[in-house]
Amino acid sequence: MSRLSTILGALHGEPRTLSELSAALGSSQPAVEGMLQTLFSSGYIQDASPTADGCSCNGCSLKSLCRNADGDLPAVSLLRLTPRGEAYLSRQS
Amino acid sequence: MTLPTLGPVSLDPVALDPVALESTPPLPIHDAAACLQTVARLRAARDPRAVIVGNPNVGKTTLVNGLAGTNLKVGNWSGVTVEKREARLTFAGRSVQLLDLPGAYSLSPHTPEELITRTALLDEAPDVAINVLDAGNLERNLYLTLQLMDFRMPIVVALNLVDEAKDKGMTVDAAALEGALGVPVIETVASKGSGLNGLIGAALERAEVGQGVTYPAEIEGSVARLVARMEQLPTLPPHAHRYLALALLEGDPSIRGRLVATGHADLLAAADREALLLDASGEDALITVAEARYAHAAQIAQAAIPQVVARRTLTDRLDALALHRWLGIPVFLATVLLVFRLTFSVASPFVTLIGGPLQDTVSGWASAALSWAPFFLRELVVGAIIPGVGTVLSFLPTLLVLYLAMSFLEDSGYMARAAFLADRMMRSIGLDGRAFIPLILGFGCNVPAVYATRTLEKRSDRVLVSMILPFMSCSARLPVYIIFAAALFPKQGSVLVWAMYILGMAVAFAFAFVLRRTSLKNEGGGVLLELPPYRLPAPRVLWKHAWRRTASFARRARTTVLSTVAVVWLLLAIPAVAGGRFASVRPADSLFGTVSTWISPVFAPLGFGNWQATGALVPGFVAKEVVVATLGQIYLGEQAPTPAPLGLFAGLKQAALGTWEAVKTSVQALPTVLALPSLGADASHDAKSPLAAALATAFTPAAGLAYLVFVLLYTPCIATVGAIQAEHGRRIAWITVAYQMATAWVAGVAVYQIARLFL
Repeated sequence: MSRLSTILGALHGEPRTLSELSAALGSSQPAVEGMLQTLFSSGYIQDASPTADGCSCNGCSLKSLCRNADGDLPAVSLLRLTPRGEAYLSRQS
Repeated sequence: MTLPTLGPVSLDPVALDPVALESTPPLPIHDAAACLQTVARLRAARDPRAVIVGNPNVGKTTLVNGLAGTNLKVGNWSGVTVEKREARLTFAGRSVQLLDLPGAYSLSPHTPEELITRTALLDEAPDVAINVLDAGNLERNLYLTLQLMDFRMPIVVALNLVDEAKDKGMTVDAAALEGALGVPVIETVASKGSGLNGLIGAALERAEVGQGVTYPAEIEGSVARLVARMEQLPTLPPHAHRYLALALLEGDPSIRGRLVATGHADLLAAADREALLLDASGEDALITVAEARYAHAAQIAQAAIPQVVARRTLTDRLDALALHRWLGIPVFLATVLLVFRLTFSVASPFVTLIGGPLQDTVSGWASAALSWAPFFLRELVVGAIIPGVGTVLSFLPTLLVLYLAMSFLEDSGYMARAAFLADRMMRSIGLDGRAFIPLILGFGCNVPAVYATRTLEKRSDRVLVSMILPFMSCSARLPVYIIFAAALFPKQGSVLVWAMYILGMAVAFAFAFVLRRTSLKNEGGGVLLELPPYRLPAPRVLWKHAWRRTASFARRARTTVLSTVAVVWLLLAIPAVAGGRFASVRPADSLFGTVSTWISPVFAPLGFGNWQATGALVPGFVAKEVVVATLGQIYLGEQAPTPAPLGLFAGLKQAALGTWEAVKTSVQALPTVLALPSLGADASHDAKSPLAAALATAFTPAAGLAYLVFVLLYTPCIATVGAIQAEHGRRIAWITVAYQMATAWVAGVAVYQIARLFL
């Protein structure tokens, strides 16, 4: 299976870290980041991370209790498939 | 023959006004071949132009400065060059123009920098491209190189940062790279001026078009047909035909826009037909083209770097344990246990201090200050508000230490790993991986956690997570655990609290498992996590976060808790028996006591079927910490004599002595954090607070345990129910309330019946 298809498959299956994915593909971590960037900017994957100004925090009277609203935690980038990515995978299978 | 420019016709839609284009007929080109020959002759006569192209942060500007002796701004972060800049140098008696282009990862532009770079390559018609590569990051950098080769222009590669690559354990074989790419490769360390003379010589004399990627046959067929069409269009730059054909097949929107603006709609239609053909044959052109480049880049990188002596970073080493498939969860559980042990050891003496000597002091002062006031007012303040609110406030040290420890785990990057582990677990039980975000938020407060379910795309996920997240032990429940642990399990307090958190998670996951397979079926979805490197958090930042959360808890004590305590006092003051007097009635004969007595048989199988324990659960619907406040009101109000009025100095002395004792005990307890429970890590609190002492008398250990389990699992506070109703409707809210009550009752019965056999 191609690298990009493997990445899309990984996003659909069991969660993995970037370094695990890099080891599975036999590519360097920055190269995998590049592949993710390509898939992201081409509309196959999307950012799934919550943001401080997202709908989850707006209007919440208790956001002072919530670290998620701070926006100064170390970044955890969450990525998931878009409908285009899901369509690509289903065509492949 | 008239041409608008000397170089290839500008395709910039900004430069070409579409309105003007429509109103002006196209300029006639009678002899395209002669036109191109003239352009080529004029270009040959001018100074050679070289563009510097590369990924961000590979040292392009440093290289230009080194070559031309200029002083362009250099930074060690990405994106310093945001527009193209020029420099000149003289080489072998010739003036050479250098064009420093912004850093780009790709020539399929998605950033302004990439657009500027791609536009310059299309419109400036450089004589040579100097492609700067980071030797330590070859595979990723080669993607741009291979895309650059689609331009069919002479290229020379500057293999920069070879010194840093060696430090990383990578030695790049420049000859192998040169052989694989088919262009000259010159090793450079631009910051030291190393290799620069050879670079400019190679760029002017030996640059080659190179061996780009050979794409799959279907793609190459489409490219060939489109290139053949472009060769009939002299308005398109010849060096870019192959690149343009590929960009059109990939559906590059900016190229499409430019071609439409410059009157190439026919070409676009032809490209669309080719794309449709590819699509019909099952090819996703964008993925196929990108994949071919990545595969070729990986192949070249492996050939050029035969051996990588990978040096594991601290993050790699820590992650090997923290993210280990089997050890990761035990490490996480042990870390959380350590946090609770630290919390207990350091904070418990201060809990006793605030709930004991300080509360007595304030009560004494209040008695003195209110000696003039009516009896009911003194009772409300001294008998209800001070013990109720004071009991809740006594847990501020615990929360402060807990929040400090949790902030450390969050800011250090460990909590991101814990989230990843949770993500894995959740996926295995059929939850959307992102569900861990609301679930982890639920440990702070369930209300924002319910709202955070909006980040989940599927409704079934949102409903499911909202229904299980009240089982996550919010911080309002912590005071209940702590006071019962201090009262009934003083030597295993931290383990008990830790077990409550684990039990909450276990019950939540069990329900997720059941609900996912029955009423709320999975609708698919997945995630990938990029984890931040570990770092040592700044103490100031830790303090800021911990203090803010603790202060938020304290604010609730003076609002929600205070008002609920006042209402409970009122209910305790209203007589429900004949002859009783307001504010003087026995608590058991009050309205509160009578109603609680009616309900209490329900809890008899759980071992705490008395009105006091039952009654305290009712205001817990308002906020869980109110359970402790109400227990304080009931037991302390019942048992403790009205405090004697206390003078200012006597009170200060009492508070100071108590504080000194608490500081000593806390410091002495620190070394026991790592001790085994049986060695008495939590045993520093032989002196129980008055409420803990009262609870130790009122509850058996088995009943206390059942009480904690019930508090953990029973209906979330009213604000959480309101949030669930707002998000998912009244029906889901009521179902959640009902099934949590049932779960709490059943679990409480089971725990009591089993525990009383052993305790």
